[in-house]
Amino acid sequence: MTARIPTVCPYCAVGCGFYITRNGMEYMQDHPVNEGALCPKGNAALDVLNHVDRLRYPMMRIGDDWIRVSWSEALDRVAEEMQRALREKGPGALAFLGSAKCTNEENYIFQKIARLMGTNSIDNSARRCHSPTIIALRRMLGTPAMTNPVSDLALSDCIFIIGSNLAENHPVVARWILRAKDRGAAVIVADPRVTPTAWLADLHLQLNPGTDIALINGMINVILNEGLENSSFIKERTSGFEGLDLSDYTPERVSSITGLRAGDIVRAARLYAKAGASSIVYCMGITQHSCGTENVTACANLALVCGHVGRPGAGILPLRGQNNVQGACDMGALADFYPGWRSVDDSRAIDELRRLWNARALPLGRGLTADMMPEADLRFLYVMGEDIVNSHPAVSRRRERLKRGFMVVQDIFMTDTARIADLVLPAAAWAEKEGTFTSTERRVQWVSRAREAPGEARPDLWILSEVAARLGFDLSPEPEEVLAEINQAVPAYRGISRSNAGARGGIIWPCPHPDHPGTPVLHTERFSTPDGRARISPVHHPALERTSPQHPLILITGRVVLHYNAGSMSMRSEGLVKREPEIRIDVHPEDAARFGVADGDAVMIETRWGRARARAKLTPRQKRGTLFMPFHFPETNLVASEIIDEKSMMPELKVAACRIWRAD
Amino acid sequence: MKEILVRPERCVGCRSCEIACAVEHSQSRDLLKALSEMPQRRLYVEHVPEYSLAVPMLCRHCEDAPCVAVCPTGALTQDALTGVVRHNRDICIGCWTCASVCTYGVIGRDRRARVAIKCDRCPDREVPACVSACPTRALIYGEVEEVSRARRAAPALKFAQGVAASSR
Amino acid sequence: MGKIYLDPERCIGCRSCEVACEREHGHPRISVDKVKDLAAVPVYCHQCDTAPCAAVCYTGSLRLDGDMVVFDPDLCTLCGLCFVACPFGAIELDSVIHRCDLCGGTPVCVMTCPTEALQLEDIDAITGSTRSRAAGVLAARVRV
Repeated sequence: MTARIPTVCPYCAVGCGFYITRNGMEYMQDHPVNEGALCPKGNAALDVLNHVDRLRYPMMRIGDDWIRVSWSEALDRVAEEMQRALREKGPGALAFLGSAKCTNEENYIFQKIARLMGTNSIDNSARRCHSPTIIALRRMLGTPAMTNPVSDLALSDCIFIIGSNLAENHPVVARWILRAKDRGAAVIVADPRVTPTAWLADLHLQLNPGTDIALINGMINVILNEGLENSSFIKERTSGFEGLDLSDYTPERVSSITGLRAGDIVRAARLYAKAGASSIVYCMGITQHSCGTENVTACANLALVCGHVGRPGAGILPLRGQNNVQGACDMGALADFYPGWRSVDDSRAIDELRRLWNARALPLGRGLTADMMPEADLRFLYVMGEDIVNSHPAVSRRRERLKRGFMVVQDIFMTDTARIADLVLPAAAWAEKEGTFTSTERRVQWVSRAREAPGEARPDLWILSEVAARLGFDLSPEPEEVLAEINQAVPAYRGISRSNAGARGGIIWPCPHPDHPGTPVLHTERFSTPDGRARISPVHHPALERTSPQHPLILITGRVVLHYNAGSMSMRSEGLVKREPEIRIDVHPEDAARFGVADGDAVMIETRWGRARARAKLTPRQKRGTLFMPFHFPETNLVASEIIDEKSMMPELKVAACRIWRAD
Repeated sequence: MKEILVRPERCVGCRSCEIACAVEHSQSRDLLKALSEMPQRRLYVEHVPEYSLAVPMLCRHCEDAPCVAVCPTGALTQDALTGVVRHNRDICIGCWTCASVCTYGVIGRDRRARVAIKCDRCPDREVPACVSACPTRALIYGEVEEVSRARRAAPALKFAQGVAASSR
Repeated sequence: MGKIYLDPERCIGCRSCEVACEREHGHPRISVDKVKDLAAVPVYCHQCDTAPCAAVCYTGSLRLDGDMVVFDPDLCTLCGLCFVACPFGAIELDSVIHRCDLCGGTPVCVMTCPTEALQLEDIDAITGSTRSRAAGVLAARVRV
């Protein structure tokens, strides 16, 4: 193998590039997103590859023991159990969980198998990251993705960050925000906590948890009252503006809902509306609510009213979580969408795929989403690279119900999900296989094989094609051949090939033909809705869970810089774990005094969903009346809320009334 | 408290202040000999081409001085009475923490002694050398209160004249 | 060669510099201190121009070479004087001395810093650009 092989970071969705060398890693200073920089997780990425915990052989459960089996025995068993479930209970008894950590090719083939088997019960972790973005932005703008690339932020004159602690979760994005600040841009951060992102703010709006819609509507109200809207943009490029009556959202009323000063709401509105090019950056503080879809809608309304979309430096930037969450959704690993964002209810669009796949019929209508799976009568569950048990509170509490029939888990580590399976298949990690990943900014990058997989671990694509062959489907195990099929199935990927995705920085979709340079900024001329216009639609402040005498505090969940999601990767990196070894609850010192808690105390926390134990950390960054728990640790799932956003099936993970006491 | 105040609109960029500063801080205190001593700069006349202006930049002796706050050895101290930020060359280790936090970029580097060098506001003089040398009075030395009182006089007069004219 | 400088307003406390340094050298030589969770500051070797660590080193194991402090492990007796002399606590001592060697000219902490808070620069270049920026702000006020 050559001395250094370019790769893309396997952690978050920023899509940073670096090189893997024989002994370690090197920085890639000419990468368009990170310019060589990496966050701590990126620096620790290689720890995952040769970890002692890696799964090396296919293993079958016999009672409470695991025995090593051969690949052919394992693969035969998968196909056999799948067919048996289909025969006995029909396609409704099958479910599939794809992975935002696997390549586009793997997710494409995975959902294809599910659909050829007759079910739309295929989902991936985008469900609890940006499913509201998918629903809202697809309806309003036509394309459910970031409108501008990350580096475009440097061109913004005002950056409004709401519900995103990007300094901890996407640190490299902060680089571009600071570049904008160097040019004199104003940065507004709306977050209940004084996060490191808030350190960058010129105006920090420390709003009450869950009052985002009120804040944004209040800003729009100020903009309309002061005549700061972009009338020509509204007239020429949008529809639905007439229905936007937000006269109730006066700064004074919004002030009483959000807990912000009315003057600050006015100031934020003016800064955002008057700037030449403004961007909205949001993340799970917007989406992980039972009103997640409405929250995203409110953000898009604000951008559309001011015409801050479709130009360099002006856009809506939902920062996505996993390295291929955008791609997994583009590939249709979702219960409500086929590849290329074809709705499961749109029979004409699906018919194109039916012809492409030579299938007799394809299923219609939404399948089971991840959190519905424990409640369904499943006989066969296939999980590819996803620790659903630790990443979903509803599943975490009912993990035994998830496994009613046969369960296969294909992963790189023995996760808690794998532990309850019947059959565990060892998969190759990102640097041990080939294929494309699509980053948050729609950047499709080809990843080359840099290391050998341990033991008998195999690329997911090989495993899937072997399973498919046993089911009677002829699906290629070669990433390049699958990408060629994706060219036909997903319009935005039509011109993407190994050569343009493999160049430095890859290519940004839509890429309609092989010579196309990619499309960094969307919606420059028209929106991708059927009539070319963006849809403005009013949304209103919802009733969220409130505090009560029994539960006087609000629990917020989120992430910390040194860990990643359910922790199956970051918890195996010594350099990360020793810096953030255990779960902590952030408590404001005044709340701590009120409830008799001291710094470092073991405390119990209770919501109406459950109880958990953790260590208290007193910090003035926490807003009074709120607590914070990082969700990298299983304890957080014990107390997280299960209220659901019906439109996107997103659980309410940011607001739960709770109480805290010292555990003695 | 007396300060050196800068009026860039009067500065013609002649660098007399820089030369006077160098002479004052030379061993010989003589213009010709001072140049052979290769003086180190404590004052910098910066040209700003986009506004066709020159701005003399020198230590502001900030009341809440970041350089004093970060100095790990105590080489930088602030006189409680005069507010002058003093630099003790004997304790300075040349770590440049002060230079990296100075908002005006006016802490320099003494290449021979390998320590920091900055304006000491000419302790031996009544009026700092740069101020005395400035031919256009772009640099002035005075009480901040007095200077702003003098500044208020002109707009007050204009205002009074305007009111008088309109009520006539 | 330049030295490492910090723009504290850019630091987001992500500790990437620490993790990168540890990966490169086995033991981190830079550490990020969070101040009341409201600011973060990486603490590291400044390669001081007068080098107190080298000044107290009686074996000549640490010595000033040009603008940098160099270290010869063969001469080191682990006496710990340098550790005491360093005002930044940037030298750590166990069975060996852990101190910054600027990674031979391309420090990983600088390269990996997501926000460009750490820079490898000549101090005169840093103060020079700060000065001209400050002068520009002042000039803009005068001319408006």
